[in-house]
Amino acid sequence: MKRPTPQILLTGVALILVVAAFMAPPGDGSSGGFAGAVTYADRHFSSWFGILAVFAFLLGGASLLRTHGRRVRERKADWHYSAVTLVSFLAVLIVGFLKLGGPPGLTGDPTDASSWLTTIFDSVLSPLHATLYSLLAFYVASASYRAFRARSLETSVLLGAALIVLLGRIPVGVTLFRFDSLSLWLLKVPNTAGQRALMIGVALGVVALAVRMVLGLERGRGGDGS
Amino acid sequence: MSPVHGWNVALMTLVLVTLVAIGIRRARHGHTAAVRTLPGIATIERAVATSVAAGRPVFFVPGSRDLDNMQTVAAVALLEPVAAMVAERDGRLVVPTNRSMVMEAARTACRKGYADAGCADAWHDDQVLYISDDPLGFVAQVDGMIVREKPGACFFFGFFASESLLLAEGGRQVGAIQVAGTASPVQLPFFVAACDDTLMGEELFAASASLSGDAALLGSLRGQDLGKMVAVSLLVVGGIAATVATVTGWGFVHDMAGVLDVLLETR
Amino acid sequence: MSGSRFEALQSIDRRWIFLALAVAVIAALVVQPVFRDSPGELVVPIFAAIEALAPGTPVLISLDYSPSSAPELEPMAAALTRHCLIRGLPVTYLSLWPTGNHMAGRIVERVIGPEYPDAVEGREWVTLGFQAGGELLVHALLDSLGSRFAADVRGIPLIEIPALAQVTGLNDYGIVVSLSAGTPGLKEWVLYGGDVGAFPLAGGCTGVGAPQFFPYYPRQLLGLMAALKGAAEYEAALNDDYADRVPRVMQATRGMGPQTVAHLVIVAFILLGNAGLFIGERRKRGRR
Repeated sequence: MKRPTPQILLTGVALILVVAAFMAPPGDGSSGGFAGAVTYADRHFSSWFGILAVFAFLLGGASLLRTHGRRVRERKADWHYSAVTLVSFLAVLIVGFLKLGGPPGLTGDPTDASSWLTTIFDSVLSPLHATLYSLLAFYVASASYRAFRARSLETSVLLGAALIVLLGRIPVGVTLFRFDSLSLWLLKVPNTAGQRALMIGVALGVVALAVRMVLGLERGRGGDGS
Repeated sequence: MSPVHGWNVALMTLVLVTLVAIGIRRARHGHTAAVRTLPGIATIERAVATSVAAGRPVFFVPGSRDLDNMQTVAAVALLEPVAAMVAERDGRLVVPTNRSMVMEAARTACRKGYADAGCADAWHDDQVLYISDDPLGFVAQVDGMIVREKPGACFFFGFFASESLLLAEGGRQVGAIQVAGTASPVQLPFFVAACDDTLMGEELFAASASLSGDAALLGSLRGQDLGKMVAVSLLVVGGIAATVATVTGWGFVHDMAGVLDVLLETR
Repeated sequence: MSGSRFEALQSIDRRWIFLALAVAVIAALVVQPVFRDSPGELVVPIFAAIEALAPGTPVLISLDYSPSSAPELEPMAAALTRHCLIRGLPVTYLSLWPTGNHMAGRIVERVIGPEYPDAVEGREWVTLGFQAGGELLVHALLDSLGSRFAADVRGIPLIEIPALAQVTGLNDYGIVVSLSAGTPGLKEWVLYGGDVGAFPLAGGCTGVGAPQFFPYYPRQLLGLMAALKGAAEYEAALNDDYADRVPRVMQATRGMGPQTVAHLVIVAFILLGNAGLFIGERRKRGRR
């Protein structure tokens, strides 16, 4: 094993969490012993993830500044985009940290209606999100046009199901064709059967991957694949 | 919570883990398992070769969630052999990430992949980029990069939400060969419609094992299949028992269906 | 029509599809057609469960979405909020998503403020806001809200908030509803909350995400509001029972007009593509 410490940590924490998920007794883990250890893990490991997540934000921010800062400094291709990214990132960071416009102090709510952060959120982030998300409607339309062709029996069934669900989810389709019940049946029965089969397969895949990781066999994290 | 909460789930977990462990142990003792070639894996090799031959970069997106998501872990595991593939052909790999912990893990995987291919010096950490934690901000920049850099191959592996179609249509627009893999059932139709090949559900978790050819990893797939046989058997027996109990009203069949119900119910 | 024209029907440039969809949706937004809906099989159990709660029973709404999916999910949050305030059920808002605080703020600003001016924060509703952790957060809240939230978003300790007087952990809520646009969201609430705890769990989700939640209904999920139509159905239920206390046409009912038109445009293009394929194939066979 080339990296014993991370692997021992991964295996140890994984086993404790699995045991804790099934065996943690009520209480805060102050009773000591094995039961105390698993209870402590069950109650407090989730808080540790929160702390780790905060440090990960710092890591990501530092990487973003380094990567885009270098692009701007070295005038690499499309460095203007990097400049916009840097300015936007730093501006929002400063507004948020200093709680400009909103209640000050450590306990002041940065999302208060009067804060500049809320203004940026409502007038910049929200419209940008809505715009990008609404692109989906256009892409779904063109992808549906391409994909739903009755070239064979299977694709004909797919096409029929798509039309029934599309029309069954709008009032016009319900009034004209009474597709609402059929659409709901398609979602509740054939769709659920397929989803469950996929879920069982995925769950088994996750278990196998977890076992490989705990044993240090998996590539990518923890194990060296050897 | 009471001690040994969800004993039935614990029992099933134990059975599955044991089956996978047995599969690995048998493989280590020479009982190799024949694994079918996943069509998506073959397409990955073809896509990398075609892209590098055309002088275009290869994009690999390891999902849009953090390392606590098993799909991300599977994607990073798959990144290592893909990086080796690109390095062997002297191509350029670009890996946009939207979590800093994923960025670090992806850099480690790529470094190892390039080293395995004997091209450690050709790797630069800058090829793995942190973009944004925000999924749509991430999509906006990656789509922009795809349009500007025109990759010849795009790989989307891991968990995706609405980003799936936005990314895959971006790649399709520049004519890239695309392979996706996700265990997120609702995103599969989008990837199937917009990509050349798609690894569905558990195939994503099997891909790294399949690509590595490692006996122990392939053995775990054998254990996974045994687990699936157990699940299917329980489903079939349970379905028949419940149906027969309802139709005939026989007490012992009713009891059997009841036992299975207790064994498998989650609440 | 020549054969090449039929072939052209099979490969319409996607920009024409984009244009047709945009024109149709903009026209519907301008004309604002209203299509009335009725409560469906998946929505009725949620409405009935809230209706059955005794006044004063706390209700938790988890706003697990961002502005991008707000057009589909915010109408659900608004409808649930109206129902709870009318029935005298104190609402707790929290979120597994960083954008959740703003989403809760929008409900307060757009629904509670204008429609229920007598409602008091801390008494009729309380916003705990976002906490990181996803499924781990849900797991931690089962036993105690205080384990992860020291105070609400205003900084007031939980113990001083009347809306939480009856609440220690998730099991003390009359119902928990997760309005979810992805991960972490409704699935995490089912697996780490509802399955383990002893509280009724219901959900709302985007149209794209809906198929994955049907396997959980009805055993693990009391009911499901699927997409804008689910929200429109809940609004219809509110209109049926409380016509004098809610707006006549609410957000989701208004949104169903453009959605209907968009669906029809997509259906039309799918049919065009298939017509091209069908006629083209017949001509080819005829020539042979």
